[in-house]
Amino acid sequence: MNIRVAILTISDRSARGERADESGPALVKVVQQQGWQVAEVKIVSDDFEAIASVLRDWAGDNQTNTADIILTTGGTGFAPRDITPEATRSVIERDAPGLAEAMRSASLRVTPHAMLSRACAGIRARCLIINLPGSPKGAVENLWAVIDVLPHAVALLKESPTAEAGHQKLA
Amino acid sequence: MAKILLVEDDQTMRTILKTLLEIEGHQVATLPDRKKPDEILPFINGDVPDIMLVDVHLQNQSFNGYELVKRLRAEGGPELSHVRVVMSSGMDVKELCIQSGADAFLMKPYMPDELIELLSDQ
Repeated sequence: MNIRVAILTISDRSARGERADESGPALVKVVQQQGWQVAEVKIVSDDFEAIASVLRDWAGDNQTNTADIILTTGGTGFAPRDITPEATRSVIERDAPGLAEAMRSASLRVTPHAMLSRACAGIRARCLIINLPGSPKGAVENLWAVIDVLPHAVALLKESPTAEAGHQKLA
Repeated sequence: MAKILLVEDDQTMRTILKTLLEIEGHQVATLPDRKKPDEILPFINGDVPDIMLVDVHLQNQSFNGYELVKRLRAEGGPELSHVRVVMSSGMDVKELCIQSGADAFLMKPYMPDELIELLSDQ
């Protein structure tokens, strides 16, 4: 199954060109090595409407989405400018809290700071949106925690005939 | 920073570990699938790593992790004698790994930070 993944880096400094984006390229690498397609890559500032606009554009509707999965990186912490979860919640139609819970649970094994993550996940149309932390290491580590279930999640969203087999595989 | 050879046939695990270890500044190579037992030591000798991370169960190889490490220790010679080996498995087989010649053991599933911390001790 072809899985199209869009990656959105959310960082004021990277958007202004003051700091190189390392998290986006790290996620691109993982996605490519998984054999998935990198559909879109973009950097925006920690701006509510800028984030929501890109998410709406990429998630589209049932016919026009350009990505099956959108991974955001950055803006999930407690700093006043961190508004990625709020922007994400403004566009999702259905919550997928288990993914964020799994990521926090995995991260808690190595750092109590995982409790300070406000990352969320949810579905718009047939697109799954997942917030990841801003550091390259954190982003890749958190993706690792959920990566095995993503093909099945996409199969379910696409109502693929293989989705039932995925149920059995994960059971 | 270390030169690390990953011997892991789970594609996802290999991808993520390689990416994370490279972010940490390590130089990472992977053992290609379907190597014959006689090809292992020449491959390792071609670019000698500081550390090898070896999964016990290697479904894409004709040998398992124990056999690989035993061969490394028995036939590796002075060039490979300094290579540190960390073995991993989903089962608690630490004793078997140490007996095979591993320096350390990591039980799966583990978080990358646990591996990175262990590597820093090697």
